[in-house]
Amino acid sequence: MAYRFLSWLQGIPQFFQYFRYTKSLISTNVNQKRFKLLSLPLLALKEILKSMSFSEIFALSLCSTKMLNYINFWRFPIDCLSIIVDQNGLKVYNRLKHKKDEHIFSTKCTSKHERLFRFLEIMNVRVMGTDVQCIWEKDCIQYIETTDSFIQLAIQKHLHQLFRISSIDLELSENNISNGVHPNILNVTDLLVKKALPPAHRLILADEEEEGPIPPNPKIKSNVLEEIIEKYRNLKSLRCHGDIDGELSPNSKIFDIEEVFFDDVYLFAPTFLESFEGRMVRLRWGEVFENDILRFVNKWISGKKYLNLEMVGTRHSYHPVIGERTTLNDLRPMAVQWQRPNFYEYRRRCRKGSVSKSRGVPPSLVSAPSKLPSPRSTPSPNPPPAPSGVLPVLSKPTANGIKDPLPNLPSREEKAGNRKKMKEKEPPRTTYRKKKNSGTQSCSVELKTSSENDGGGGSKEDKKKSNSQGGTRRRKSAENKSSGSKESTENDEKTPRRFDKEMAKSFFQYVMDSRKSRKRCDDALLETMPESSQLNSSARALRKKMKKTLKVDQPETNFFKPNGDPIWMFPELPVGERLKDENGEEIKNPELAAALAENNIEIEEKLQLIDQITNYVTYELEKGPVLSEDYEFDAFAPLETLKSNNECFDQKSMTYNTIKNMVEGSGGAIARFSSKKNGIEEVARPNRSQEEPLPSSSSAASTELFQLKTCIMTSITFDLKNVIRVTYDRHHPITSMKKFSKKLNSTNSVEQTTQVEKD
Amino acid sequence: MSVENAPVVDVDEAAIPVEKKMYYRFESNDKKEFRVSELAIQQSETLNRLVEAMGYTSEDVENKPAIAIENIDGKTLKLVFQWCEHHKGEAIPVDDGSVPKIVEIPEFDAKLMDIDNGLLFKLIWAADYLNIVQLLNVSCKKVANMAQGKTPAQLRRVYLLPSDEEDEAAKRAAQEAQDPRAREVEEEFEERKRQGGNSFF
Repeated sequence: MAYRFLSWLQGIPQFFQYFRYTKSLISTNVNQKRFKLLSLPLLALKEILKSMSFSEIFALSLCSTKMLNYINFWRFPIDCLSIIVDQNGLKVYNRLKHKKDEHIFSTKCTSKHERLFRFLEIMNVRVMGTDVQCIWEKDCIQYIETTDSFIQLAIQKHLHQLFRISSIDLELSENNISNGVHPNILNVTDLLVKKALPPAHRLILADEEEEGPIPPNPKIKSNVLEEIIEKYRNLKSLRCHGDIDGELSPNSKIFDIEEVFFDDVYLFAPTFLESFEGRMVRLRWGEVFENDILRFVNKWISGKKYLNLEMVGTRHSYHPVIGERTTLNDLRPMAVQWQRPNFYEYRRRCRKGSVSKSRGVPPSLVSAPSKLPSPRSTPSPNPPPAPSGVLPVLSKPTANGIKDPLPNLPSREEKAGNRKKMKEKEPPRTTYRKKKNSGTQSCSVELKTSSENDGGGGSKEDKKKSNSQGGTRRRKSAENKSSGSKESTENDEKTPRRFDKEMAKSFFQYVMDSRKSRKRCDDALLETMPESSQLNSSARALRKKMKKTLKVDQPETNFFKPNGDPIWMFPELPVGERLKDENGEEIKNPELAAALAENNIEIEEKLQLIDQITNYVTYELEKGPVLSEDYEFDAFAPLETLKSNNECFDQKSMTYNTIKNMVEGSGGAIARFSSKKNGIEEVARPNRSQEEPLPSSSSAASTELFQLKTCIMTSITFDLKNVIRVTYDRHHPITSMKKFSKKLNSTNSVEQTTQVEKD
Repeated sequence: MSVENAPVVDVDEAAIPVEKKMYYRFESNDKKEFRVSELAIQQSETLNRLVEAMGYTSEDVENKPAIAIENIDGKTLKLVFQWCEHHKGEAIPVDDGSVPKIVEIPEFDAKLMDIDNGLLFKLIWAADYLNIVQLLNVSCKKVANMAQGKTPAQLRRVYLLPSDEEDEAAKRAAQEAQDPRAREVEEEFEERKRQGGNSFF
């Protein structure tokens, strides 16, 4: 016994030695693992923080104020913070787009006894300047003796200090709300109220003992819901899974929320429909009568109410509320007046509760005019995204009747493209049409342009016709673009004109009227066409005289008169000075009459431009002689051949060509005029930029030398190496001059360098 | 002319000049010399620019003294150049701004960085100084991994982060350390004033 005691005593120092040894081992190991984080350069520290997950960054921020300041310096972005509130506390996630949500941390309230049993280290964490006693276990802060609301608010403020948070999703359960738990979280943008399950122990009891039915779920009272919504004033979307009991107050904030999804049947559905002012709504129609729905839809599509409303999604459990007959008979007349885009962009707010395109139940009515003819009385809180259109879809579409647009919803890029196109084009109208051929009533939805709508007709054949016409029109326009002015004259009568006859006429009438109003008779500089009948008769009289005396022309050397006017400009003589011809008629302009007589030309009788255009449009204008289509002009051809071409410069052909070019050249202006007349905003014409080269010049510049074959006898040669092309834009004179001087300097410098090289 | 019909000419392979790989010489602050290939140097933006600016030929590299890198020791520089040689010719990653940054540590890098934290600290310093992006990413990821599953108290120990109280204490100590000198200066100034000098200087 004594021996044993002695050996035990001897063992004591050995035990201490061993203790010291293990302690030193632990300390060296710990020292080796230590890293002086704050001694690193700032860039390296940033890289380390960027490599950490959000939960690690959050934990690091609680270490010290200095570390918090460092993290606050960069404030990494979080797109969407999701906060789930349950009975125990909060769960905070970073919501990721295509991945599982990343858990950041959770909070939990723990009692003192619990921590005693679990032997966990109690630590002090400083959150927003207040020390909180807590236990930290796997990214979970278990706080002791602290009120929930204080922790919630403090942690949320702390998170805002750490990260740049764009939006906050809050998820509550019915139990929380019915227990009066309203989490103290600010700036909530999306709220989801989840359906509460009955307490677990009751479920088990019900299963095991089969004593009776499961007790009903707790219901949220509508006034409690309103209180919550009053608290979260920045709410953009709301979704309720659970049951709501009672009516909503008429001034409830719930009506102002942009997107509202109710997943269950509510008694207040008719009231809600009456007062909703948001952008999107999804309801279950179970408790709503058909008349209510029809009244709602009528008000909506006629633009009397719901001006912000873009989409309505419905679900019904019994029978289709809006039948085909209803749609055809009651909604059709109003549907014709709709002007709306093809697709509506579905913004995915409150994603957890949102209806996904693939999984969601197809709504019985999904449609809406976002762009109604009447102006908006109240602007929407957030301007809706570029509308992208939803077509009205019936609850049970017939196989051949309805084209469902939803399955063909375009991708984002396509949507963007569509939006661009929509800006360019007139938004297509959607109409309901009865099929004349089919015996039974069915409904078809098709896209039509406004011009097509004017034509009327709803049969399939009509549609085909219109399509084929549209096709030919498009083809024609393409051909015209390619051929340009070299359109074959023979085909003119066979092919229809690509412009609207009436529109062309009214356009030119408008132009002439506007010119008349602008005309100033006393303007001396204004060039006016001399009165044709008077001059022609004087010219005829002079011609007779001229036949007797043949005048030989002297070549002109000076093109200007002493007063500065060109030699071909002769003003009309004043009334007193006018001479009279043989017939006693006054000659207003003797020089011009002499010239006409000399060259055997007659001035056209006063052209009635509008009549000519009308004749051209109705193919009644005479063409006169025309050169053959495959004719190629040869400047060096014998004189006889060239003279034979003069036949084609007949007055009729000249008139025809003039009118034709005038009408065809005014195509763009006619289109603009027609769009203006229809009340569509004029699209800004693209200005030719200063840098943009002229289309003809590019080909010319590519050749160094080319000959201009304009004259029979001579050929002019341009050496393009020594020629500078100068563009002068009179809208930007200073820029043009600067460019010119720069160009001049550069050419000079090139010349100088070449000279130096030569030397 | 087709390939088959082309005349065959015997070429003396020894006569063809073989383009030699250029190896630059670098010297650490403890006078250790390293020879690094031109391709490996491209991983470091700082060294690459330096070398380009110097415009060394292969003769210059041999004849002229080694390029001195004065703030990195030999042990760290060896690790850096080992990494550069292993990753030579690889594309330099561009930061896409995503947080958390997704970085995978390759096996070679993991082995290379199986070092004590002091050396790892120096390696990060060197990677930052020499602007070796991928080495910085990898080494920072290694440091970030140390924080996995740690409580704030543990993080304080791992990263040697002083608590608020310690910071306060250090600040006070620094002020106190600074104060005596300030007090001395003030005393000297007053004494000179008493002696009759108008100005301090």
